[in-house]
Parts: sequence; structure tokens; C-alpha cells
Amino acid sequence: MTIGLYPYLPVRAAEVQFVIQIKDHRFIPAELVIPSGVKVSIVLDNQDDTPEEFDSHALNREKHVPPKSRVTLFIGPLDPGRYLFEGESSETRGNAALGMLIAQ
Amino acid sequence: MIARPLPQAWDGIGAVRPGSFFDVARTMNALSFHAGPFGRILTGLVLALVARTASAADASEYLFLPSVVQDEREIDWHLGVGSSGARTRHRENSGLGLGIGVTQRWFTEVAVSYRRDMYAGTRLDAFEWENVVQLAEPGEWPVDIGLAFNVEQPHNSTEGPSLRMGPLLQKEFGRFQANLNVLYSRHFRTTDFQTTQSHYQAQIKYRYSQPFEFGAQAFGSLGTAQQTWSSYSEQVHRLGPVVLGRLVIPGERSLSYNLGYLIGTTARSPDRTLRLQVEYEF
Repeated sequence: MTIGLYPYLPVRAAEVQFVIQIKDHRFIPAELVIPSGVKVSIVLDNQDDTPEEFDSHALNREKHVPPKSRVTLFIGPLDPGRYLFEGESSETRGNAALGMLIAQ
Repeated sequence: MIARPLPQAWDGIGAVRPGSFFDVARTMNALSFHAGPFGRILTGLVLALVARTASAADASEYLFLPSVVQDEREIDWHLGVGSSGARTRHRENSGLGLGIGVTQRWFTEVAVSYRRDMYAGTRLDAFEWENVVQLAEPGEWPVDIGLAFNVEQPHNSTEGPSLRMGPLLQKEFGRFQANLNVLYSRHFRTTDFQTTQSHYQAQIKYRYSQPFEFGAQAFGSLGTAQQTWSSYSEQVHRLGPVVLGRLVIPGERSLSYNLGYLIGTTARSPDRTLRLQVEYEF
């Protein structure tokens, strides 16, 4: 499984950036390991021709991702644990994409 | 997004209204709008609380949030009932709005509000245009900041429109979330309101699960119609517990609710306020 860790130059001090691709209404990677106790940014890169929505009560984030575009989320610092997120595309009714953020 | 008309200062207007519980019950039954078992449960909770507060009534009010979800559309319904004073004073307000996240940073909603009291019955109160601008992504800054900008046009009144605006602040602490909104309103072409009015909204909640969160809310107005900042006894302060949640409906839809019971802390505040907000997001 690919872990989308991109060692970009931090936009802000001590901020690490990750990338999650959205392709065929699936999150790639479906599981992403991030450091706990650190604020991170996650780029959602939607490669589909339809919009997707990133939704997670555990992370307290809900974000619309237009087709063929990128948006950035800012997460944490998180306690160690597993944080579920899911997609809400109208194309995947009843079969939403699921993903897991693992802070460790 | 949970949308949020600004507090209308409790003006003490109203009077004893025999049978008001049954009027509230009728309102609740009429407005539970086929929400299924969930709606019936909420209606039951509201009626039970109203029954305990006798002829409760108040203006409705709810919290603005600084975050925006693009393309999210919502139908927002809210109701507030309350009572106040040594003799019961009664007010009910309700409203219905339609909102949409136009961009990643701008949410807008148009709404109509209704008001009911003993002498005038139910009447159209105002037309509202509400806007929230999200200044940064949630979590990007140490405190999430948005701006509220709302215009209200009273119906059937000689008064002109009013403008209300101010910063919306939000901070997460693990599963806790705290909000503080500081809002200012200005009435135009009016003889009643001679100064800029200042208000606040505050909330702290524990995000236990998506369908069930709980916490406390506070709402207040710091001045009177003649003063931007008045003495404490002339201010309006209400606070109390709140339960909130969001139920996901298949097909990219959801139903959000928040139900609060507020207690007034000054003579100018309504003694008890029961407020309910339900949003259908699609």
C-alpha cells in the first residue's frame, strides 16, 4: 500500500504535508499514517471528473473537493489513534469510499 | 452548516396566554415535517420540556459557525419558545431558510421568520439574508475565524433594514470544540434603536459521536436600544445545556439537530428558553 508522504518544504514551520488521491471514487491510500502530536496538512487530489466530499466526524472535517482539483486540509495535532473518514460522492450512493488516518 | 440568526434582545413584550402549551404542541406537530421516528422523538422531547416550563416562549436563536462546505444545500428550520418574569411573558419565534455553500469560503442563506405572541397571533416578522465567509481552512490558523454578514428587512413595519456582522471564532481541543461569536447590529430608519447593538454567542461541546454531541450554549446582548453597553442588569444573558447531532441519510443527505434549554441570568432576560433547530442537508 502506498503511503502518500511527500516531503514538501513545509509551508509553515513544523508542518508536514501528505497527499491523498481520489480516483474512481476511492481514496489512495485508504490508510494514511501520520505523526501524532503534530499538526499536518493533507492535500486531497481529486482526479475524477466528478466532485467528492471528504467527511469525518472523528477529525471534525467536512470538505468539498471539486473535480480535477486539489484542496488542503489541516489536521491535528492528534492523539495516537485511528480516525475514520469517508467520501460522499453522489456517484457512490450506498457504497461510499472509506479511509483511515492512523496517528502514531 | 448550522445557521444562526442573531439574538433579538428580550424586550419583555408579551403577556399571559392561556393554553399556550397546546399552541406549542400544535406548532411542533405541524413542523415536525415528516421527519420520521427521529422527528417524533425530538418533538416529544420539546413538548416534554415545554410542559415542564408551563407556558414557555421566546425568540429563537442559534449559533453561527465559521466553516463553509461548498455545494452543500440546506433547509433550515428553527423554533424558540420562552417565558419570563414574575408574570408570564410569552414569545415564540420560528423561521425557515434555504442556504447553500456557494464557494469554498462563502455560505449564503435566505430565510423568513415568524413571530407569535398573544395579542398579534402568528405573523410574518422579517426577511433575512445571512452570509458566512470562512477566512481560513479549519485548523489552518490557531483559531478558526469566519465573518457573519446579515441583512434583515422587517415585514410590515415602518423600520428600515438592519445590518448585523461580526467575527465567528472556533477552537478545537481534542474532542471538545469551543465557539465564540461577537456580533454587532445596526438598525436603519428606526426610532427604537438609537445605537449599535452588541451581542455574543458562545458554545462549548463534546463531540461524543456524530449523532450525539452535548455541551452548553450562551447567548446575550450587552446593551439596550439606547446604549451599546449597558449595566449588567440591563443586559440579556442566557445559558444552558444543549444536545446536538447529525444523522446521515443515504444518498449524500443528512439531518442535523440542536436542542437547547437556556436560563436567563438577568431581569431583562427571559427566565427560560427552549430552542430547537433542525437542518436538512442535501
